[in-house]
Amino acid sequence: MEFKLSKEQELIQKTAKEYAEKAIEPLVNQIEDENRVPDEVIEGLRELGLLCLPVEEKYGGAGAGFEGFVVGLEQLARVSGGVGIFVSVVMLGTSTIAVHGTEEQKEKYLTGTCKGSWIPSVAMTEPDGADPRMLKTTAKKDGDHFILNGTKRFITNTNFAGPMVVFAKDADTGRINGYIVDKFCEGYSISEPWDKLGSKGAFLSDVYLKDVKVPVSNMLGTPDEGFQTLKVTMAMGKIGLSAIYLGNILAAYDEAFNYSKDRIYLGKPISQFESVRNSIVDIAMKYEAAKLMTYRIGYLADNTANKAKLVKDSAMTKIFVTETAVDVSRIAMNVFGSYGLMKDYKMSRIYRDAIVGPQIEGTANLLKTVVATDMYK
Amino acid sequence: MDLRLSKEEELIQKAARDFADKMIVPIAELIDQDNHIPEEIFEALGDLEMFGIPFPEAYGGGEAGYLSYILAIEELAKACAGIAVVISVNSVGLSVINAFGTEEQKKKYMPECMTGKKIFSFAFTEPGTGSDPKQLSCTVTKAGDSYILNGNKRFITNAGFQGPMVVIAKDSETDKASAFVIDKFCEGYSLSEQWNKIGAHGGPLYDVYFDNVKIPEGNVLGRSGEGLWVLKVAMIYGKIGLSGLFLGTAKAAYEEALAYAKQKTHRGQPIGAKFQHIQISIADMAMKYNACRWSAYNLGFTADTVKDPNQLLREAALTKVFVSETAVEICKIAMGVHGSYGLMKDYKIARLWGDVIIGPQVEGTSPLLKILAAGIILGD
Repeated sequence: MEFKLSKEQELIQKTAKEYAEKAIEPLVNQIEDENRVPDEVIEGLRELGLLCLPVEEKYGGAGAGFEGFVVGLEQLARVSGGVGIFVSVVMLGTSTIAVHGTEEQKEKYLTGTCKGSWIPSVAMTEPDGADPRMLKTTAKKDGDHFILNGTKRFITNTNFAGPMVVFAKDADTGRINGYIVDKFCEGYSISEPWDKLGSKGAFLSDVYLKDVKVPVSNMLGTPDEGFQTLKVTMAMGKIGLSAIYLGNILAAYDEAFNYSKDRIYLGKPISQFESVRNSIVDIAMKYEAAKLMTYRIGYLADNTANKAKLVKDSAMTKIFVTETAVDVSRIAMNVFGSYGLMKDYKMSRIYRDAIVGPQIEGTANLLKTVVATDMYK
Repeated sequence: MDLRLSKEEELIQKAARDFADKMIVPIAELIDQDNHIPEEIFEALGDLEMFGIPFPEAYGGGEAGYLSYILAIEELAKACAGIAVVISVNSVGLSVINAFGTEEQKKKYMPECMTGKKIFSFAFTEPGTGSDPKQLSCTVTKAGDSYILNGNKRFITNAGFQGPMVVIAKDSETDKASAFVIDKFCEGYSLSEQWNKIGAHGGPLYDVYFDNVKIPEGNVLGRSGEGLWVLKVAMIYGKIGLSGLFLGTAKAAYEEALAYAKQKTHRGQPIGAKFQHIQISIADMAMKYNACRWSAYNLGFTADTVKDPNQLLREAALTKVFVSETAVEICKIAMGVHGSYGLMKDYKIARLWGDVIIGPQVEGTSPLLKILAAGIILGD
């Protein structure tokens, strides 16, 4: 058992931290207000290899695995939850294609993302929910094409060109499969963006697919692999979220720790008061626990051949880290007092970002039902 | 022990609820967006006698006690936290005038602040002090039969409305704190930009600057040098208002989640009927709301019956901590019922998440108030 980062992982951590502080931090308010990750940030992330950390090198990725990915994403999300979600969804798209894609699909879409200008999306959830058995979007075979129809809800990065993995039900067989759709093809349109409470910056909208024509060669995996593909996507999304909200915890920790040293009360820094010191220790303990779980899920993802098997562990990690992030935000708020409520203080944004984690890609209670099903099977 | 509300209390609760449903709910989202409450709302609340519930009839109040006050604040806050903030802080000003004011001061300031046309502020906190009186840097200097006030105050609610403001400042000669009543927008009074806070929009918050503000001697509130007593009473009544306020937010979150659980379906069945975890969430919220409710109502009863300021401060501090912390928990559970939809500004619960975190932070954070209350308990 070895609890230390490799030289390469340390370098990823340092690179991500420095880039986030230097290039993202000054733009954080703009990213929030415009609800868009600026092109120069996307290019910067791409150049440094931070956009495609787990993608294999032969497709232009950093080949850093999921350990490297969680370590890097934590540092990016520490500075901007929105950028964290943006990068995480890029990972989600590339990983889904990497696991079940053909060599041709990988060559085209992974390289196009890592080296070109594409930004992938994944579309599963629909207005009726995220339960795969309830999917209403259909794919109807028509010669050497599928015709896709349906509406997808809460989809990230829909405003960028690139591939979108759409999960749809085969109109004839009823089986679910993933199909790679080129965004902005004929029949693709998006809603106004949803106005989110926090973790702003990654564009979120609904997607309308109206007679979208997809070549048969763009189906992901074999027809009977669709459900496995979906499981991989679900697991990967939770690995990304764990790293994002670990970064959120780290941000709250840094903010509260620094504030406690600077803020003077009764003539001395509040860090001299026992109750504040205890709060900081509580935050530190929770951060360490969340970090160990997150880094471990990175390790498991790198060492599990069948990634569909990660559903249980990734769900448990996501629940633990995101719920802990909300706890930590509350403790950190108490260190700040009234100042933490003001938008001038980063703490107010960290708090708004934190609540996003437990809600998306399955609430804690819902995911517990998924975990339990796996445990009792 | 009779835990029923009296007829009068029920009537006040109903009047506040009906007004909130009819007049506030339809514009609550707009108030949140614009961070502004229309003046007509204040006048209508004044006509409904919502500004003076616990105060003596002789000065225009309803003389209906603090339990009635909490019942009304709860209902108003359930619809819009910002409106409840304005009333709560106005009541702090009225409470200290009622407790310390001369007959003349009461006649001058109390009736007008129950109409909704004039609104009280209370100014103690400063940029450097937090809530520590020894560090006060606002000073008054005696000059003939007046005082000259200089300094800055931070996070002052209602500072942008016409009306009186109670200011706690240090006498430059005696070094003791005294309380004064000034008219806002008098010469030498100016404001910062509004603070942009995370929630309770519509309840405006400013820093206030005093530049040689002249205060007539007759505007000292209470005895000169006894400003910290005024502060103590303000702390008590502020926490009574906040307890009612975040009780209202908690109820709003609970009701939103309950409605959502009934309306949102999963495979043809409402999620509240289908999932045990949703049922447990509903039960948790109901339990926590009940505990908050009786805790807050008991505080109202205590304020009406207990005179010892230390006992009252202890109860007010602990109730504020309990209700505001539990309100955050309730809101968190309500979020979990909503799932991703709860994050979208189209849903009320997203607004409540910004409102609810204010409770544990203002007028003393939870750890600070626990230490304060423990000091009183250990000193008993």
